[in-house]
Amino acid sequence: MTSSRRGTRRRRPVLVSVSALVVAAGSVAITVLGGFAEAPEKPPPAVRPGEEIDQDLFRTTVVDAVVRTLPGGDAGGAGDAGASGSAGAGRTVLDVTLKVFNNATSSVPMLYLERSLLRVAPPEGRPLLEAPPSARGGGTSATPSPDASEPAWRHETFIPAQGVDSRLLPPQLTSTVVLRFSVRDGLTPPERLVIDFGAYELYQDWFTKRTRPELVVDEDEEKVVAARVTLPVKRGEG
Amino acid sequence: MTHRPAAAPGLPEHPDPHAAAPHPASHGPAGPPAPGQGPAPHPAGGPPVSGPVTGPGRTATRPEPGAPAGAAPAPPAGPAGSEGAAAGGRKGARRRPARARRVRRIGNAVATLVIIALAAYLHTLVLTPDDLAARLTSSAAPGEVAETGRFSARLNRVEFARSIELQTTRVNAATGQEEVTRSTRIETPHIFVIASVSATVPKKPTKLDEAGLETADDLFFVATDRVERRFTLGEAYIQPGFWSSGVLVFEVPPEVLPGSKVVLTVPSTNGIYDSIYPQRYDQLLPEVALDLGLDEAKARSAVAAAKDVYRLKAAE
Repeated sequence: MTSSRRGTRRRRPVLVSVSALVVAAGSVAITVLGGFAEAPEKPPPAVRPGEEIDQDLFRTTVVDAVVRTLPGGDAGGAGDAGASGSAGAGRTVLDVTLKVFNNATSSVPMLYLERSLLRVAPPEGRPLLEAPPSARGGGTSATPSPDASEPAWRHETFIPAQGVDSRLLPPQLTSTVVLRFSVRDGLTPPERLVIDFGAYELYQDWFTKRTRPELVVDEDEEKVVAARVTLPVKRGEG
Repeated sequence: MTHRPAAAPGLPEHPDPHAAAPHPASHGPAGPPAPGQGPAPHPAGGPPVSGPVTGPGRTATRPEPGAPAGAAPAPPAGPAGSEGAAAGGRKGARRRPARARRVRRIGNAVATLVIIALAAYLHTLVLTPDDLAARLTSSAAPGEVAETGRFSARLNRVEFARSIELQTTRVNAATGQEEVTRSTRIETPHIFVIASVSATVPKKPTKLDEAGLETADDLFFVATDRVERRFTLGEAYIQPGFWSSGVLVFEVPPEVLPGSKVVLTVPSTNGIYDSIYPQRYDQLLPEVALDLGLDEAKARSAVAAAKDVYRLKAAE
């Protein structure tokens, strides 16, 4: 069929065999490369402590993570006014210190920064803090412990200041923010911490067309990890 | 009558109302000749010629209404008509429209481009949805009342401090004396702005929403959360019939002070709908902007003269 009728010699019908060969070669190639299984996800961009993370709404730098015992009287880190309540002398805490530049034009409640902390965990083991998977809703509450035998980590986030701490990030200024985990009975602070940061984007409401910052999510409405910081936990005593 | 033929080939209709007045008047006496003469110049010479040809005697009455009509289609009409030579006018009329048409086309093209450019420019002035839904602000100088439909406010005084002593008081039941039960001093690397504000409402009691200090570069510093609301005007209900007074405390870098103002709002009355559908129903809320009245020099001297400790008292 493929050859012309007036051709001097009949051509063989090679099309079928050639396409079969191509299909076979393609199948082999796909099999060798791992089949049709989904490719493993790329790991989120790793950022070293001290490097700046662009969260759009914030520009954040992780300074360090220190386990320390709060001095008696606890003048400096006045968690007294905050949620933890059980602030007392000799309390052991794990403090993660961040430097946060608020990129917005207005003061931003600390809640926005807490929501962008998607996961704080040791390299292996139970996370100290994990945001709920859905895109909406606050990721602020402590991680519910899967088994009641082990107590959950509790945390608070604040800007330490003389007298009373603040939980408002002033606009266009850099604030030192402390993410504090209370070390309680049955909890041991990990040697290393992996912190996943989400990023914000200006989300436009479909109905009103007004904009507001929302965490970046992927197609499955899962929050996207914009940066992953791994840092050692120092032991301090002050 | 003759206006109509004169006007028709040129620009349509617009001379009509103009012509309406003289038309019936001239129709009466000169009615019969018009139908006969009117059509004739049309096919022959066109609009410009028709004027002078039909009515040499009537030229005196015609020019006023004829002028606006004739001006648009062909400027040469004037000179050609005034010469009164029918033949010469015809030649000119034939040659010149070609050039006139080209000129008009170029003119139209330029006008189109200008209009398109203007439309494109005007689109840059369109308000964004965020701007369209923004609060309606009413401003006032220091000491003057800014009024909105739901509340009014006035800035009485502004003070500056490097630290604030927050004193919690309680009236001792035994002695009847007020005593300080707890005292906390807060300090700032920036500066505390303590604005004394009075507010009232025309009708419905309300609390103030989060106050803010808006700077000249449109930065919005929300009132500091380090001073609890019970120390400030934020906690009190604003009632009709009298002015409630209190302070609002802001913690800002001193360099943002020039040109800044205290901005007050009241919460929306939409109830839970604002949390179910954020931003959908909270448009155009009232807002008051109270100018601090600070320029560079005043701000500098005010900051230099800031108090070391400012005392704020509140009951438990």
